[in-house]
Amino acid sequence: MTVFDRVKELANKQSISIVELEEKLGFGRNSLYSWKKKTPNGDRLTKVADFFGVSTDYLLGRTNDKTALSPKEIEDIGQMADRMISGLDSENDINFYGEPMSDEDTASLKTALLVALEMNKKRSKKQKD
Amino acid sequence: MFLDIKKEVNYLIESCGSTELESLVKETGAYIINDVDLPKSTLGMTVRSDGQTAILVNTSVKGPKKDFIVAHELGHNVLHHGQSATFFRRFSAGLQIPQIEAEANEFALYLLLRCSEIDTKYSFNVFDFVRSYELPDSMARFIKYEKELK
Repeated sequence: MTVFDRVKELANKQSISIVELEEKLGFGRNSLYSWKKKTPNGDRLTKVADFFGVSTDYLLGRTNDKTALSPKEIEDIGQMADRMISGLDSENDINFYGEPMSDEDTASLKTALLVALEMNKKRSKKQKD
Repeated sequence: MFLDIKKEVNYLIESCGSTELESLVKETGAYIINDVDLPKSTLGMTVRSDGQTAILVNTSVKGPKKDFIVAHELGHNVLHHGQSATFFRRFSAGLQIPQIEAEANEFALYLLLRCSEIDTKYSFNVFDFVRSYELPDSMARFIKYEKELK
């Protein structure tokens, strides 16, 4: 399956044509068709991945895991974790009390938090699928 | 706000139709992550995002105490949905525990009481009960249903 095939499949699911997709993303006419033969550059690949909420690896056919996070989703989760740890995020739940934590503890907590946020995101994508 | 914790526990068990901890977690729509390291000072953590609830338990905790931590986090999930402060840190200064932590402890201990079949042939008091979960005696003050232990 080429990159184009994957893009086409995702576009079909959302009932949009390749031409419409090109317009939405500000790509030149027929530029996506060239993905049948050559591998697209990273920037454009990222834009398409973000649009469909899939990972670039999924588009490239390196994984079949559709719930793997898109570049933007990964970035968002990183920012969300930072906000949660500094206690500024009231929309998503987490907070500290008790002993102050060392920097080392905070770092390992953040790693765990990132895993949990990613798993939550994947579960929610799976449910929507 | 007054919370009838006992009622909440009974309601959960009734709607789930089981006293198995894992089924009860599932019943609330949450899930457990077992294999991620947490800092030593954090025994459990609940993370809510994207409409999902993940319960993390410190990998160093094994056995009955782990059940307590899961039950405690479950308590937050049921009693304090939408409120923050969902970390369960090491039991420290007893009087400093915020209200919602106290409520989650009470929830957890009552839930575990309901889940366990206590052999009434032997004398069994609240301290024996908290000790069986490797918890400090000070936790016994969260057990408000001593009659159940008779």
